[in-house]
Amino acid sequence: MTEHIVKSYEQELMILDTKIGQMGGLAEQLVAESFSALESHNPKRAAATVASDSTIDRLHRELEEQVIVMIARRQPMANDLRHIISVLKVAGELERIGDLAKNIAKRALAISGENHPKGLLTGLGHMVELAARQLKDVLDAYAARDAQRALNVWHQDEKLDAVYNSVFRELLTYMMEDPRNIGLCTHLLFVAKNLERIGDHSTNIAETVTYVASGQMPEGDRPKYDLTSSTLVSPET
Amino acid sequence: MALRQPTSYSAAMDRETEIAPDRILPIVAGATVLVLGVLTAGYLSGTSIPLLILLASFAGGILGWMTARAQVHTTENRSLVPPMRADAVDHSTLNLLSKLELPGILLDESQRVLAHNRAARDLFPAIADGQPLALVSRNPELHQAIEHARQTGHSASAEMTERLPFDRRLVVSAAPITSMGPILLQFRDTSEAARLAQLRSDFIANASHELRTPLASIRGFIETLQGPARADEAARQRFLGIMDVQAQRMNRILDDLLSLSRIEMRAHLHPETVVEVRDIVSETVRGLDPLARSENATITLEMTDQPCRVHGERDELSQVVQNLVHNAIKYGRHGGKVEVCVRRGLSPLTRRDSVEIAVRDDGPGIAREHLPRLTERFYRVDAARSREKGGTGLGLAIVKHILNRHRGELEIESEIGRGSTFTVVLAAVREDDAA
Repeated sequence: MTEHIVKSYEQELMILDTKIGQMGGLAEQLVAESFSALESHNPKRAAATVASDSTIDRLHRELEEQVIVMIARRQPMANDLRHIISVLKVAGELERIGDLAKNIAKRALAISGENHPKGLLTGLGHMVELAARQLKDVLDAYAARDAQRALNVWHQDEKLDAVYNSVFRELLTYMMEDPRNIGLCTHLLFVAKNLERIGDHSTNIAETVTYVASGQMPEGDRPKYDLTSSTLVSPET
Repeated sequence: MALRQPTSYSAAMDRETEIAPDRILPIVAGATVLVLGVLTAGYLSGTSIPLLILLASFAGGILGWMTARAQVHTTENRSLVPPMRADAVDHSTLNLLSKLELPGILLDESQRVLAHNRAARDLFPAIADGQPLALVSRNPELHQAIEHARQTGHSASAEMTERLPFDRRLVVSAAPITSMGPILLQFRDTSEAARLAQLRSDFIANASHELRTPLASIRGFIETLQGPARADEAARQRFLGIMDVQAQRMNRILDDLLSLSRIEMRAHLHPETVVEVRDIVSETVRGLDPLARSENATITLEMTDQPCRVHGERDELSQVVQNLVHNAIKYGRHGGKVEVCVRRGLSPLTRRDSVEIAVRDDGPGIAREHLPRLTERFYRVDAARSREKGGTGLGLAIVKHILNRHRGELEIESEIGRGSTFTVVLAAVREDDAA
């Protein structure tokens, strides 16, 4: 790309938004690919996914540098300042999502040799669908500066939490039925937790979109339905 | 918030943002006042001091007004976007692009859409000239191909995979028109072939897994009938009966899997025809009377007087009602009641004018932890009971996929001991809309 000696303020903002779009696209791809690698017992695919997280990290660093330079030089006010700070926040969330997806791919590598019972993966597959949909919706909302769409994503997170609660119990029950399952199920538990965290990061991005659009955070507590921290499944005697 | 449209501006404004205008003007104005003051001081006596003060405040007023106007000017700058060069897309190029059958997009050097054709809009409904490509699509494979084309100056192609809102595979080619100039993107949709391959492998995996058990059971009985039970007439009758049940079950599983595959193949095609939901529901419920009677269940039907028209396919919506009512009969109380209700109104779920179909049973109910999982394929709350009732585990998955295609929602409510309610929510077609 040809470098202009004097970039207009608008052009610099456009570069920021484009980089967020790039990071977002990569994050979406990583989430989907990491789970496909898990489902298909494909260690090569999993390894490739682990490697691509570094691109997201690089974009994050570049964005941080650019934002700091912009704030120093342009001294933006009001809306412009909110916009630029929000770019930093969203980039941070996307970088975390990339790391969580990379972790899923690592676990896919770890269990690629084992045979998973089909039933366990449908629950996780359901979670991936929901998490991927949330991420796509919130990134579309960010691009369009649409606070209403972002609010919908914020509310959607309870669906993901509900499936997570159910999958958590299912995995615990499975482990109790046969201790030989414990190794596999522990990895799957982490995968489920990572997917739930990805959903949470998407809702953080949604809060940022609302903040940029209206100058206020969404009202009230985010609906949280994650009950796993108090879930105990006792063996049937 | 509307996207900013490119407007013309002068190049001088670009330079202005480098040198803050609100610092230059006060200096100039201050210097002018000083000079004036020195000049007049020589000509006037002490009685002119009020006159001097008046002159100074007047100058200060002008100063303030000029500074304020300069600041407004600077803020106005912020909303302007550098325009695309007027010479970048001439009329014949636009004409050529519009005649292309394949989706085509022309990009400028800063990765913005210069022009696009109808087919491209079908592919990316949110596309508009002047937008950065990153707003149109975030797909990393697409951006890599463009980057590659720019760096090498040659055409680059890539395969783009998208999963939302539905599975799609595109082959994109990025061709630089001139070096350092615009880039032409062309897309070829290869989803059909990829979808077919995916469904085939899914079908084989599911079929082989789910059919294994009943098949093993049948083979077991065949072995027994050929061996130990060869002469046992009573055992023969019983075993043949069980084998028949298992075979029927395999048939149902295959039917359901084929149904599901067929629906998934068309998941991306939104139904165009408009149908009246009340007709579909009443017809389907009437068809289930014999089953209800055999299970000693009563089906009641309650329908609103308002019209309930939606975009949909008759057969598929009928299947949805059939599966839900069938489940209610199967898993409800023996001798229980199934209430089917068709409503029109503002849905609390979708916050839109909707048609709702609610199916309620007074059976044992479903525990909360199972509710979000019910539409997953082969998910069983109680595996033994499901098999005993002849369930395939696919009924709700089929409902979910049909509703996805219809852009509808399924809401599930249940309480242990009180029964369950399954509600289908579809966007209503307003009376004043053209059918």
